[in-house]
Amino acid sequence: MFHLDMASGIPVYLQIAAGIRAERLSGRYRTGDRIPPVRELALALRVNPNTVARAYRCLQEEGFLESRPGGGNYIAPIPSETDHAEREAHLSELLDALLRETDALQIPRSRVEAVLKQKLNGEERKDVE
Amino acid sequence: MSDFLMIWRLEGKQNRWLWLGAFALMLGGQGTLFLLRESLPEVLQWFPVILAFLSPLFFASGIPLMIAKKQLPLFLTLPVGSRKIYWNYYSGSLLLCLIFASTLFLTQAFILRNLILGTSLLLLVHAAMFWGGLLRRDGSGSVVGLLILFPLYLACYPLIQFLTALLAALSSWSPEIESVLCLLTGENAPLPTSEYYITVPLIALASASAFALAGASLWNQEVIRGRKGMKRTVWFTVLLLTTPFLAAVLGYVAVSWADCLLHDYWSRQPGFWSDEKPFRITYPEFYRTTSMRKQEHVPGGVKRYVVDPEKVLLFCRRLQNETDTAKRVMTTCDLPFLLDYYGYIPRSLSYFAISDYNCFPMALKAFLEQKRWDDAKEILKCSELLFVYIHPQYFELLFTKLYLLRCELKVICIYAGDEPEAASVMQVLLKQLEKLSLSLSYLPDVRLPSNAGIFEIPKDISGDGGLLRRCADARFRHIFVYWKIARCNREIRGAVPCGTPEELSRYVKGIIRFVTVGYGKKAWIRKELNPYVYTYYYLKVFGVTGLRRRIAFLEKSPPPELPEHLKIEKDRITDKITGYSSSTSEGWQ
Amino acid sequence: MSGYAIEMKGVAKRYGKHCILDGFDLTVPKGAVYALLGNNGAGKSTSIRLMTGQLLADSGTISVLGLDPVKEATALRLRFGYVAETERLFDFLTPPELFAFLKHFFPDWNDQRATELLHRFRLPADKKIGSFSRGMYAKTALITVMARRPELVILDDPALGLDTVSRSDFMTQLIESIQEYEHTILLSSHLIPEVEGVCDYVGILRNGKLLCSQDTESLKSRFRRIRLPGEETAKMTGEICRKKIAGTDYVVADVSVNRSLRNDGEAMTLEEIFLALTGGE
Repeated sequence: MFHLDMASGIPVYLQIAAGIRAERLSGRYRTGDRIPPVRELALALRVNPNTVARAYRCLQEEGFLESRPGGGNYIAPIPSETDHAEREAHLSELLDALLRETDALQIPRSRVEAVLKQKLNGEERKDVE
Repeated sequence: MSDFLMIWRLEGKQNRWLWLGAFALMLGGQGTLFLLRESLPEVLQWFPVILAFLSPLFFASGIPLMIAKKQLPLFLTLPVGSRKIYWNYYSGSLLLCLIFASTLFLTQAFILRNLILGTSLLLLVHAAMFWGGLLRRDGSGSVVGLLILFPLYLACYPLIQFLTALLAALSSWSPEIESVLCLLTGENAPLPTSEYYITVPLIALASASAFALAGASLWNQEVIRGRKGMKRTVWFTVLLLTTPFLAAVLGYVAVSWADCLLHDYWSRQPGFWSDEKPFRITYPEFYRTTSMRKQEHVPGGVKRYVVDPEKVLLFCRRLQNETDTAKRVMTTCDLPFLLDYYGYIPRSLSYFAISDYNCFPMALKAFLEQKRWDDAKEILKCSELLFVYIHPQYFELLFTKLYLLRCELKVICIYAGDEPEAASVMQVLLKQLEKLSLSLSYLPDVRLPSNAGIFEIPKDISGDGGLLRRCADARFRHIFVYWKIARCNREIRGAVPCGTPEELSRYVKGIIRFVTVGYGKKAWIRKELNPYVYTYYYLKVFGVTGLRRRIAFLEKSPPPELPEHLKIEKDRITDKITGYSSSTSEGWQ
Repeated sequence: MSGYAIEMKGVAKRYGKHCILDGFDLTVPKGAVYALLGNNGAGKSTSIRLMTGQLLADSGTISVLGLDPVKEATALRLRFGYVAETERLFDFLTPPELFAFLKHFFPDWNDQRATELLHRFRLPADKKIGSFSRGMYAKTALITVMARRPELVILDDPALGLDTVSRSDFMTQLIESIQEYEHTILLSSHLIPEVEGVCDYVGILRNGKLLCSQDTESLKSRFRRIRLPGEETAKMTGEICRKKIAGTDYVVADVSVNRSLRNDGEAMTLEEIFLALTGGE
């Protein structure tokens, strides 16, 4: 599950929406999976169910989620172009965050690159699809 | 109502022992005392009653307890008005007290007045203690409430006196009120006056209401709103103690003032009033000196004075001949010191030698029996002339004249017999009746004994009870007399202009009063009518009609037409309008 | 009828010479979850007691669900539920007996729901309430409100003194109820992180005045903590206060006043904002 950062300055509902998208991208949710109902997620995160509902609405509007007869929200199948753009954007975000951290720790970028190369070569790739 | 029940049930659950205890005591106490009543000394028998009055000490602390247990905030979330909560607790604790006290009251025999008195006092004690409990919510409030009752009693003492006098006056003025009061107080009430059994409960109930409402206000202001109400409480206490006192004083002043006003008014009014005599009366001297009776010896040695018709006849002749020239004497009369209200019975002029006017009817009777028609006629004429020579012609003369005519009518009807000559005697009387009128040439001012000023003590106070009570009694009595004077005058003046018998009948019907006498099963309704107007009406309606018919019968002429509003049934003439009938002893046909 | 569940305008309340509230304005929109935050003595309890009609305001107007809480108290009490930490229930009753009592007064009481909640909170139905622990007591009090589903729920520091588990139960129940039906919740709390995620609106009270009253998101984006470059003594526009954290000087600023700062520094949690505004550590 994902954590909410109350100090990040990002509205909670956006954090929830981002979290769900991340889960999708990381493969925890696949197309057609049912995401937790509003109540469950609200209880788990200790937030107002309306906030969760807002996040879900937001995702629905994007087309990320779809509702089915009988209730519930399901991951919608997405066109591959957007998928690709999202993943690229996500990758860019992750790397930016990484670089911010390493800058703060005053690790030289060359070192980062070296370790990265090491990791990339030494580890198995995971399928992201 | 169901809100009340719910809260009572709640309290019942919380204080089960209180309710059960009250009920148990009620039943157990009644049984025990019933068994032991004979063997208990008097003092101990009163002990339960005193305990009953102190029962609010145990039961009246519902609200302080509730507040101490911090249950009030929960009550205040309920959609029940806060006033309802107050009255709920009030009625609940009152009920407990009544249940508890009922057994202790029941040790005494059941008398309605004791029940009323006891219950109203208990209501007062409860209300005062409940109020005290709200005033000081730490538990000592009940005692405060109890203590305030003592100054309250002192403050109410004059009011009790005044109201008792008022009630006594009302019950003597109006038989209806008297019968209601009798119903409530029963017979042989032991307290100084039976009226205490009414006035004390009334004042107790009024005070209890004051305490209850003050408590409600305290509850709202101090407990619910949290405002300090010391100023309000002080005001309440001051008002509570001064109002009864002021009420008594103002009441008495008002009655006194009314007494003085009415006294002044009536003292200047000309009026028909039975007690009223002119200050100076003149009449021929031989009225006083002539004796109409003779001595008679009765077997057994007793001497008796009986009316001597011959002497009466002589007097009559003298009356006809001498009166214009007779020497006149004068007499003064004192006004009655005490005004009382037994004014209906005609009083004879005691300064006459003729101690009663019955000598005339009795002489008439004798002559009729002896068939001395002319002498009988003389007697009749004389009894009319008698009053002409008394100056001035005051009211008592008028009604004595009416009375006399009535007696003569009766005598004639019974003793005249069937002789045709008797008709001529009847004619004389008939003429007198026909010209009879109620107007008086002389109508003196009603003179009343001088009255005390508003703040002075009336001279005619009597009876028992405190000073205020006796003074108020006297004042009420006076006012009653003035009212009677006013009514009597109104009634007589109203009869004067009635020209025809029918008008008179209608008028009489209008002034008939219906009075309930007695109470309960023994009650009956009596017709009450101004006796002067009644006698006048009787003479004018029944007398005249009856005589005319009798005369016609004796002269063997056709009976005159009966006025429409009269009818004959069974030997009597009945007036359809008023419902009165002529007397059977007169035997009309 | 406005769209506000609670509306207080210009309210003032004094106790003797001490002025608890002065010129107090508060609006709580319908359907919102409103958190009233403030230190002890700031006037939280007083304002809540004014709302519920337990106190009479010295001046100003109060309108709760469109009704005057003092004049129309009886009608209003049917429509809102109130749980206060200091409130005692009837200790001598068992929960079902208490519910039976309340059911008589509240027509919207639902027995089934009450029993369900009783089970959910694992409260004994056969013991007197007086024997309950603090946590159980608070939960029973909550049931008396939740079984009715009133349109307004006012919770005056309901979780005070409760252990963690009970508090967690409380919050769970609160969140569930938000989801179950449309109603407004006003709660005052000491534990800000707990309520931060749940409340839509926040009001921060200090010395009888409402420093801010707005929805949570915009409140949190309004204040930023900016690191001070060196020993600058000049006061910035929109500055709220200055702090020293781990040796570094920071200033907390209101960026709605000074828009140039809106991208500077970092955002703060609700608790941090509260502390900054009320002058705490």
